This record gives sequence, structure tokens and C-alpha cells, in this order.
Amino acid sequence: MTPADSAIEVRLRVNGLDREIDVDPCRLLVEVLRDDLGLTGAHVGCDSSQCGACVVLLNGLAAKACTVLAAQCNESEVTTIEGLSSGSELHRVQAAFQEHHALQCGFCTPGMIMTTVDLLTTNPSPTEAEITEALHGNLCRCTGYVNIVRAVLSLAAHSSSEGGEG
Amino acid sequence: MTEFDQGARVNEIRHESGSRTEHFRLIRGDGRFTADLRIAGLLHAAFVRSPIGHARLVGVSTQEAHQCPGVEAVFTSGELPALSAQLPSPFEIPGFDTRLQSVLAREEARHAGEAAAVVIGTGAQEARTGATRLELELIPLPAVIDVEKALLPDSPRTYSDAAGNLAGRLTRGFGDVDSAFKQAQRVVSRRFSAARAAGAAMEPRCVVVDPSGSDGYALTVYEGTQAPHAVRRSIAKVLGLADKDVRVVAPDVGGGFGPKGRTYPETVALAAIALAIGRPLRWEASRSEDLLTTFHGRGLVVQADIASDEQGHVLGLRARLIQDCGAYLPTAAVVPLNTAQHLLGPYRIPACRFDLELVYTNKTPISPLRGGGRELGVFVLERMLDHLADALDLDPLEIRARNLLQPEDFPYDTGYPSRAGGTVVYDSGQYPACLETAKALVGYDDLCAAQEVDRQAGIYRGVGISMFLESTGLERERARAELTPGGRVQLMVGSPSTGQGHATSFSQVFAREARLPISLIDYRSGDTHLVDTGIGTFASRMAVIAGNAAAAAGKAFRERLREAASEELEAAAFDIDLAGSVLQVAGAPGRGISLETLAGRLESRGHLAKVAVDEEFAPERPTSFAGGAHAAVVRIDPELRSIEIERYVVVHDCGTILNQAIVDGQIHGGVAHGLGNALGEALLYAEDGSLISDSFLLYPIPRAAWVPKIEVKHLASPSPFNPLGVKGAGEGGTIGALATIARAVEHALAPFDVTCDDLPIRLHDSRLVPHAANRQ
Ligand code: FES
Ligand code: FES
Repeated sequence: MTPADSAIEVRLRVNGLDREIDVDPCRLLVEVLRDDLGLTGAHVGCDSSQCGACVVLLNGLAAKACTVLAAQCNESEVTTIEGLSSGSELHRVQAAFQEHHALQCGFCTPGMIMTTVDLLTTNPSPTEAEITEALHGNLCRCTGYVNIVRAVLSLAAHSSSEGGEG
Repeated sequence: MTEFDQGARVNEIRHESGSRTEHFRLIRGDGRFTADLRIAGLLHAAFVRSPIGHARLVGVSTQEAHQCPGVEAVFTSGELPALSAQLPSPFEIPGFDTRLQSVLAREEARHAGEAAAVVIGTGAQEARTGATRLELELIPLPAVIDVEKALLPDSPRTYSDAAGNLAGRLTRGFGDVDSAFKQAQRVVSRRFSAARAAGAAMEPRCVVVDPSGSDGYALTVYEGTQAPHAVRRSIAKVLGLADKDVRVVAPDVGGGFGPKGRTYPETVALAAIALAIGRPLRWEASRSEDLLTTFHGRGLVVQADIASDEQGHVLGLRARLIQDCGAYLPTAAVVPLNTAQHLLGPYRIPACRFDLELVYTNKTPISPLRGGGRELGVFVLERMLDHLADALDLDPLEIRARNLLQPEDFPYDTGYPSRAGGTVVYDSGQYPACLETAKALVGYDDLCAAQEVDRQAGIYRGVGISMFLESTGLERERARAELTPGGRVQLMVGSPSTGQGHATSFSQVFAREARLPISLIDYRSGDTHLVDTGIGTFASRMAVIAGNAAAAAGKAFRERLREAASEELEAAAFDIDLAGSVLQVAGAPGRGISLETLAGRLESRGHLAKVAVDEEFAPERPTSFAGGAHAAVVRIDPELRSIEIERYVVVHDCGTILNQAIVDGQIHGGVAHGLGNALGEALLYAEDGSLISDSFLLYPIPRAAWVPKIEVKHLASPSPFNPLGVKGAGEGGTIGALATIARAVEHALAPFDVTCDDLPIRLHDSRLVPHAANRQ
């Protein structure tokens, strides 16, 4: 894609790497992440900011990357699902999703995981009601949320981690 | 908390590692969905669609679009022969007025969203901008919206050259229904309706077509489809190619639920254009496009009569089913035929007659959608039993108990004509035990007893319990396996996983039969290049059919390995056994060969292909019947008109369980889908045939706080119709949920005399917002 004449330079720190890119001012962060930086872990599931498949951490907070213009993110720090873990080591939220079979098709999963990371940062011991509230903006059509809630609950600081399939 | 009883545990094939094979990539963001593919030189497509339900297309002005920066080409139906061709139908019904969609609309657009032109751009944005500049000259025509009104003589017509909107009529049944109704001591008649609903898979449809020939095919198509082989057939047919010239690959698929099992005009249009211009092409639906054009489900009106004696023994059942088909018949009568067959449920019904009317309307075509029509058959039947119980002043569970088939009745010949010829035969089940278990788990008697006291305290709580049945399986499927040069095993199945965890379940089944560690197996599927045949991932058929194919492949693979090792080890094949990844001569420690070494030696001699198998499972009786009971406890605030689901219990019998976590997950997701259909999801159309519900704001699917913790209990009656004893599990959650919620709501609101025969259920015509109970 050739940047339009009006392209502006944006500096981002994405998954720990400094990136400088020229972007058209009307392009969304999720488009730039997916198309320009090849980070396809953030998905696009809707066009009305409803599904949360695109959630990334923007300066440490969960944000729907489909509702933010890339140009607005100058000098920001972005963490996508690809930057959550290194090597074969999984982030504990990823490990809990794996352990509790909290995904089926996996399309909603990156967004669910990023939202959960944010939740646990601000509230290390969420209750079930707080979890479902936090996940209000993340839609899943496959799992009925049952195992997602179970996975997040297993990470709550007060939880006596169930371990294994419940 | 999922419960699991001893009986079922015996039948579970234990999984070695507890984790699902495919999860690792997906949780790291390494999934490869169609929209994630990057191909050099890719161009993007945007479709120009009719915004209204019915219009004459008098012209297309493309000039302005052509002038948009980044627009490379514009195509209308006349541009290429394939663009005005009809999409083939996999089924034909004799005597039906079968109308099929053309790839691009020619003279008329018959549903909102029907495409009439395609703009090709250097980027998605360029193509979309070009599409907004392209003008369709449309003359609005009266739109057919209401399926019952469509049958009136003065209704506008979807097809001006037809006498009316009826595509065709079918009658199904058996026994002497008229005398059953004559003898009946009680007859109850009711009308039911179910709104149109969307699959709403989280991954919108997306297609990438590569005509470069770099893989040896004239055309390679990537699409998150449930049925790559059927898509290949349609593309080849329309483009005049042989199947072997076209490769269709389903990469990771972000949910299917039925509608992604079809061939869509966008796919064929992209294939035709890519071939014509020699450039790779991509199209990705926006969510609103997806809700508008991906085939819908449900959309049914039923008038039903049930006849019984004074004790509530059912003597006969009659129903008239009016199916809103939308503007075309891509899946013929599959959906209402499933509905009709499932009107029999798990009961002894001596006589029935079902009259099906398939009606064209100016709406998106209908396809099977989680349940595939079965859910509405079960909904109507279970509701009829509730109403009959009320009329006879019997407990609704008692009337069910009096009519349920007993374990000794199996195999049970229903007498109902099967689509495959012969009659529908149920394989196995323990329905009374399912009902009793659901009743005990949910505490039915106590809840009923407490109801009066609760009501005095202003608490409106109700309990609903209903049975479900799900025909699963169908047709045939293949599994291939090959030893790789590195000593690993590649297992391949034709139809793709769309979230059902096939890699785990089938690798597990294969590994068990081959006596190999599951960690050695690499699973691939959904690529016509790897396995040349496949029917598709729908009808909860994959565990039943592909599961057994994988088992057969495992068994055969073990024999091939032993034969190959016997030559190396100079021992008789029957003396060789597998221990881990080592082939060992029995009773001779030290005389063994690792898989890796064996593969290396075979490879060096060009004999690796000796250890390869290709097994098809095509059983005589390819349909098995899963079943069970659902129970729901709801609490309703009559003032707020809100429904809180306090408990939800599923007692499920899908025979042998291949992987319990996967089966439970299917049930959870299925129930959530059913709750959506029962309590809110409805695709609404305006008078002019435009779709109102074109976003997740206007078509709300269940969110985390809406869905209660779903408790699952397994009772297993393995199917005698296939070696593994498997019955499918993909749709029972949805199928059972509709009537269960309807009864629970009705029960809670008994003082208000509310009847829940229309889906979604709306209290006082206002949209209901269900709240989950406080989870403990
Ligand atoms: S893509 Fe749906 S909220 Fe961002
Ligand atoms: S796992 Fe498929 S949408 Fe959530």
C-alpha cells in the first residue's frame, strides 16, 4: 500500500521494538499492526467496536485497536498478543486459557487474553462478576464463555488454582 | 463444574496430555486465518450491493469508480461469462421451482446485499472507495417480507414469472394420522414462530484467490469454509474447470456454525476475476456485510396439532411448516426436512403427517445454522408436550416419561421415511435416565414446591426441563496417514476443523489405534490437495465419520509399520510391537528400531511410501442419534421484564466421548447460542427489504455476563452403528435450549399467563436482557 501524500510519520514501540512508520492519517491502529507490521494476532471481527477481537495493550491498557487511529498513537507503547510471551514460554494468561480449554476456533482469543491481562493488572483478584463485566466488550461465539471465565478465575490471586480440567 | 460419571468414563478415550494440540498457536497469535495470508501482488475486491430487498437493475454507472485512485478494474455480470452464471445447487428436489442465485445480479436484485458489481483496487480501502462511487440504477419493486403473507394471493412476488411465492411442497409422515385424531380424547393445537438468526461466527467471511499456479493448480482458493471440497466443486463447475485444477484450502477457520458450509457468490466471483486478470485477489466481509449476506438460519412458522388419550399417551402429531427460504434455495429443503424429522424427538409417536411449504421471500437465503432445523423440530414438539400436559393437568415431566422410548427399544425404527431411503432408525439411548437425572440435578420437585412461597415474596422463579434429540453423522470421510522422513506421522482428514479441536480428537483416536504417542502426530485438514474428498464439517458429523476413519487409519498404520519393521528386524510382523516410538520384537529386548531410524532407512531406499494409509469410513448406517435433557431455572423480574438464568444443566448422551473437554466446550457454546436464539437474536427487516439488524449493536449475541455457568453431566450409550460408538455433540446444546428456556419462563410467569411459543421470547414485546446468576 502506498502511503498517501498526506502520510505522517508515527513512532511506536511495539512489543519492545521501536518502529517508525509513515501512515495515512485515516488508518486504524489495527490495520497498521496487521498490514504494515505483519502482526496478525489482533483480529477484526466487527466494524462497530463491539467484538473486542482487536484488543491490544496501548500504554499498558487494553484498547480496541479498531477504534484508534494509528496517527493518534505517536510515541505510544503497544503490546500485541505476539509480544506477550517470549520463546516457548507462555504468559500465565495464555497458559490458563490452554489449561482450561478456554478457546475453540481461537479467533476471539487474542483479544480475550489481552483484556484479561489488563484486568489482572488493575484487579489481581477479580470475582466472577468482575470478570464477566471486564469481558463485556469481548464477544465469543464458540465457548459460551464458560471456560474463559473459569480460566480467568483460576488466575485470580485468591484462587486456589484448580489445575487440570474442571 | 462439569460432572462425569463412572459409566461414561469407561468409554472415554483418555487423552495423554490434557492440552489441545491446536491451542498453542492460537493463544500466541500465531493462528493463520484467511485474512492473515499475505501474497505478493495482491489486489482487493469490494462488492456493490443492493441496499433493498427487491429492485430492477436497469443500469450500472462505473465511470466514476474507474476514475478513483487505486481502482484497477470494475466488473458487472456481463463482463465475464462466469459472473452471470448460477451457483450450482448440491441438491435438487423434483417438482420444485428451484431458483438459484447468479454470481452477480443481472436484471433483478432479490435480497438486500445481493451484489451487482465488483470493484478491484490496489488496497482494500481503494476498492471500497471505488465501490461507493459506483452507482447501481435500481427501480424499487415491492418486497416480500412476511412469510405467511407471502402465501396470500394478493402478495407481491419474489419472482414475477412465478404464480406465487411457493417454491414447493413436501409431505412426510407415516401411520394413520386421521384416525389417530379421530380416536383422540385430547387434541391441542398451537402456532409457533422462530425469527431469522445469524451464524455470526466471529471471523467474518474472507476469501483469497491465487491464480499464479505456483502450487501446480490453475487456481488456489483460501477461505474459512466448513466444506472446501464442495466449494471446489462449485468453482470448477462454474468456471468450466476440472476439480483437479482447483485447490481449496480452509486455513484456521474462525467458527462456522452451518452458514460457512456453503459456496458464496463472492468466492466464485473472485475465482473468475482472478483467473481473468491473472492477479491474486482478496475480499474480506465487514461485519455488516457478513450479517447481511452470509446465509441466515431459522425463519419458520409452524401450526401443530397433537392428539392423545386421557393419560397423555401421544396418538398422533400433525404440523404445517412454513419455511422462509429467502430469495434462493442453495440448500434445497434440508432445513425444514431436518425440522420435520426432529418433530418426533425421543418419543414413541404412532402416526404423524408434516406438510412443508417452502416460500420465497426477498431476504438472504436460508442455510442450516447450529441445529440445522433440528432445534425447531425439538422446540415445537417439546412445547406441544408442555401444552398437552397443561391441558390434561399433568406434570410436564410425567407426560414425557409416559411417551419416552425405553433403553430396550433400540435400535428403534421410527417408521419415518429417511432421506437416504428406508426409514429413520435410532441407534441407542437412555432417555428416561437422562430425564430423571436432569430432574434430580436441578432439584425439580423442590423448585416446584417452593414456587408458591416464592411468589408471595414477589419472586418469580420457574423451571423448565425438556428432552432433545440430534441426528448426527452422514455420508463418508477419509483419513490418510504417512510416515515422514524424520520419523513423525502426518495424519490428514478432508474436512476442516472450525473450532471443534479435530487435531486433538482425531490424533488421539489415531494414536490409540496405532499405539503411537500422540506427540508424534502432526494433523492437517481442510485442504483438497491433501485429501481429495471430504463432505464438510457440519451436522455434528466429524467425530462420528472422520473419527472412525482416523481410528481405521490408525489400525492400518500400525500394520504397515510392523510390516516395514519386520523386514528391518528380520522378524515376523506379528511378533513386532510398538512401545513409545520404538518398534520392538516381542520377547527380544534389544531387538528394536526407532521410528526415526526406520523412517530414515525406508527413505534412503525410496520405500517410505510403504508406510502410508488411506482409509475411508462410509458406514451402512451413517446417522447416529445423540440425545438427552436440558434443565433451566430462571428468575424473572416482571417489572423490569428481565430474565436471570440461575442454573443451566445439560444431561448429554453422545455415546463414546473422544475428548471430554472438547465435548463439554461444544455443549457450552451450543447452549449459549441457543440462549441467544431464545432470548434475543432476531434479524429484522424493514418494509423495503433492507436489513435492520446489521451490526452487533442491533443483533446482540450473548456476552459473558449473559451466559450462566453451564453444568454438564454425561450419560453414555455408545452407538452400535459405528466402531467407536460415537454420536455427535456439536449441536445438542443449541437444540435443547430453546424449549427449555421457553418452559422455564412460562413456568415462572404462570400467574401472568404468558405463552412462549415465539422465538425470541419477548416479554410484553420488549427486548429482554437476560442476566446470569451470581456465579459462586
Ligand atoms: S474489531 Fe470488533 S471491536 Fe475491534
Ligand atoms: S473461540 Fe471462537 S469466537 Fe471465541
